[in-house]
Amino acid sequence: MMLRKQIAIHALLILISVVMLTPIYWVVKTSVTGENLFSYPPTIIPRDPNLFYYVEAWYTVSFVRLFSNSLVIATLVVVVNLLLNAMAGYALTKQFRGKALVLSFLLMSMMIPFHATIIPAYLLTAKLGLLDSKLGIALPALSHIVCILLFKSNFEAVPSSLVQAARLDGLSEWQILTRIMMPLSKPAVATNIILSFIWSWNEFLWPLIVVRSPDQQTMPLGLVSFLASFEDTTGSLYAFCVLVVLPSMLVFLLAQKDFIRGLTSGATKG
Amino acid sequence: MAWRTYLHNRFVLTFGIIAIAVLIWNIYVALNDDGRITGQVVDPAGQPVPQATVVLARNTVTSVETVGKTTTNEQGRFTFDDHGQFSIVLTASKGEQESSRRTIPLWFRNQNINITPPLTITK
Amino acid sequence: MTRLFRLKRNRELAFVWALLIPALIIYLFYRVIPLLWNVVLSFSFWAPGKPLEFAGLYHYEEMVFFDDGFWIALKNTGVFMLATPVAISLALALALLVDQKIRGRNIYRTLIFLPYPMMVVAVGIVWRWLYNDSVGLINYGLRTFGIISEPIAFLESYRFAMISVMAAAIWQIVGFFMIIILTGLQNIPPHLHEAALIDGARAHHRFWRITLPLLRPSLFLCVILGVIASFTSFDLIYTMTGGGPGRETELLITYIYKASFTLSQFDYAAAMTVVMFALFLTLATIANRLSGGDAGKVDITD
Repeated sequence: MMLRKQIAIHALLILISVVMLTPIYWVVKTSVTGENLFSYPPTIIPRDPNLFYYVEAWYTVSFVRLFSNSLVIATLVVVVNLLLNAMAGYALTKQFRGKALVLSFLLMSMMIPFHATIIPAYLLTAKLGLLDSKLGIALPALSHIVCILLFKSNFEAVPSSLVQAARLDGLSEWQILTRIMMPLSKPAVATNIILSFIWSWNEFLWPLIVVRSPDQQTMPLGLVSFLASFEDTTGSLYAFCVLVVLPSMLVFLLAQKDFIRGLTSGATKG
Repeated sequence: MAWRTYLHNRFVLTFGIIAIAVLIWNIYVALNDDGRITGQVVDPAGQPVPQATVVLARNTVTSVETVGKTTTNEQGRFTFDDHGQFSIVLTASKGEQESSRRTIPLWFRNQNINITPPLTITK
Repeated sequence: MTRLFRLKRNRELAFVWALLIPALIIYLFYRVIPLLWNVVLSFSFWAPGKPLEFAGLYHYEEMVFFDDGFWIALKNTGVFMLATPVAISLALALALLVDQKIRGRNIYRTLIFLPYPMMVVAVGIVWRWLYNDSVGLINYGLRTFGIISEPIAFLESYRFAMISVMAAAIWQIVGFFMIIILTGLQNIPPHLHEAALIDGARAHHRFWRITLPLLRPSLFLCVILGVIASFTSFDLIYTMTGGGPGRETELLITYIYKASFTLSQFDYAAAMTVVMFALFLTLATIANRLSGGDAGKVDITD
């Protein structure tokens, strides 16, 4: 390719990247200086940055409680997702009567956005007595159809000779799933973990509906109530923002290949 | 060895390092959170001021709230114990003379700190 | 012998269903039953602690003939949907750029994609801050370059509130659309372009005749995702404007939330949900038809 064209493309892409990153930069900058909270014009380069707004955010909200609530729920969601989706995915690799029915049931459920079910889902959770509990928050997210289908296609790629050999060795079906299929489907496992973690971590509407007491609040709820009580008068709001976003960013950057593959294999969140 | 390959996983490494950093930080905090503030009050010439009143306060959203009060000793030194704050505001005064208000953000609640430079009281 | 065989087969069948049932129960209870429950509620009078009474079309009549709020929310949702074509055109341009053989293209891809996994609540707060009228970065930029003389309170102005929220939504989703389109681009067999080159087709001809038609499934997947986003963008509205100023940025989903969880009109909100879901299904079906039935297609071939 011509050098001039190369340079032009790089210049354009750098410009675009700068535009995309500006909001993130601006918030991080405010969180380490707080200098343009009340002053105008703002400075572009941070002046004597410090982490004291983070300390303030840490003590102003009960950060440990919010964090551990979110983490407990996310862990529950990830573990159960892995189990249920792998099980269902494995079942769908087999031929049995009613399989077409199950598949169309799943595809139909996939077309129902969760947002279109919030009222009955809330009433149902209330009936189960799970309002204001971590289990109640986690329940609707305990399985993602996208991940079931991902497991299914991964399992189907496992050579059948391997499965036959295992069967001859006397392994039960369950052992085939846990000892042969799962270790050979690491990409699907990784994708499932990452997607269900990030979705659970970022979920806002459902916890907002279900949670009543401050004890059960998750990170996004804590962030919103912080916003409600302080508005944008303190840099610790932005420090809090950064702290909330950091875990999912970290997971994403560590596993972006699997994350992107999971999302592009026809994934629609719902 | 299987555990070696697990150890070289970037997730294990990243979160392991984070866990170790958190642990070290917590040990450091546990060793330094007696809430002891030490400092000195001097006059503009740099001479220690005995019997000066030092007020410890904290910033709230709307105002400054007094937390404790003490007086300096013969060497002009003062101490507070167990202050319980993550950001402190100090002022010293003697009679009509007062120092400017000094706000010191801390790294964690009840952090031990030695105030430098000393609080200077002027007219 | 046959009995033994049948026993084995029954056991296998039982095993298969045992694996399936936990996941199916989740979908039954949190997708399918709620959907039907919504329909039932929408034709009834009901409030927590009261018996269910048949209401016929009462709520639908109320919605269509007497509730301005519903029509405003519906209109706003339609306007919000216009962010999708903008985001898709931007994403298409970006995808073509990062598909070039240049050094470091993976870094650009990651940077552009970076906003997508961010928590939407935090994104809302970030953009509130950027739009701030007295010290916000956007006002600062516009004033520095002399485009405006007085600061604009974007999120409080009737003229700009909706567009401002849409800009934030586009910022977050454009990287995701880019990745989808990129996957589509990489699935185009290279020999098609080579053949066209030999035939002497110009670059823009190749784009319109080869690239774009073959990208249709990816583009329509983006359309469907955009439609879903406009029906589900609750978090962004909630943190950025709360539906204001007035009802200028009220979407169907925020209106439904308010009707049900602040006003406790569950039955009426259920009727609106049914309408919202019907609209979503219609639009998704249209998009799917237009794309040749491939949009968002998941490989489930047996």
